[in-house]
Amino acid sequence: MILETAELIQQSGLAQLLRNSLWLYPLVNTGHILGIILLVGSTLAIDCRLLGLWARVKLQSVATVFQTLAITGLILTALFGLLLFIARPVDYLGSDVFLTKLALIVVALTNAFILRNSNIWKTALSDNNWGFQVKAQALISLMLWLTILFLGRLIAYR
Amino acid sequence: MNRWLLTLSIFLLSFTTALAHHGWRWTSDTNVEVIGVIESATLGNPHGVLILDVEGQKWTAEVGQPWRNQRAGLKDEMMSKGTEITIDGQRSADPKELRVKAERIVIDGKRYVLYPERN
Repeated sequence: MILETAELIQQSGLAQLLRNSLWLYPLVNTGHILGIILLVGSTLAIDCRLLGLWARVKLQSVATVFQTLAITGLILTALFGLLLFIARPVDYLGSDVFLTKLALIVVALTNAFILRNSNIWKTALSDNNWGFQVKAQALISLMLWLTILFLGRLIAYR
Repeated sequence: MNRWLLTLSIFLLSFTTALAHHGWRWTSDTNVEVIGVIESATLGNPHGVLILDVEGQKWTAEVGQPWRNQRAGLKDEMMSKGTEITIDGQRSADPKELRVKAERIVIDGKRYVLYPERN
């Protein structure tokens, strides 16, 4: 079922357009990378702040700037990533690296979502003070996103 | 839920196709010449892949992406099903894997060089 759907997508006009293009595919690739820069870069900044870097800058200020950038990056990455996927869905679904990457993205987003909707996060923002759990989640986030970044690159080589 | 997971596992195990590779790390250093008939072709970005029938054996040949093919003078129409093709390139370092990354291609006696810097 899923394989058949993937094959239908692979034969679609959009997939053919992406595969056969000289300029469109590299542009979509660039969009995906721009999204990654914003998403991973901003998440890294927030995580490092939570782990104790730049203590003079209030968490509220760091969060205001970088949460917006991270969410913008997430949308760009997902959108352009979907286009890259559409060009070769059968191949990507057959790649362990790709599937592991997707699973880790779900874990990382869940981690971020839980923290962002928690009371300890509200307190951290208002009091500029947070404890072990927030730091642990920041460390997990940092490690997950760097691993996801590596897996994304690895897809091309394995 | 369990049934769903089982279905997903079976589905994932059923895949045998693999993506084409960047670079040459996965190949062996010696060149091979593979002569076969194109069974199917998925060309274009990010890499072109040909499935060849080589005396009854199924080989996978990786060709270039659009820019590289264009530079070599290769057109997609030339690599259609049923075409006899000679691939000169590097074989996968895994001897069990029938996979070659093309450096040069010969169709109808004409030579197309994908990687002029590699001899």
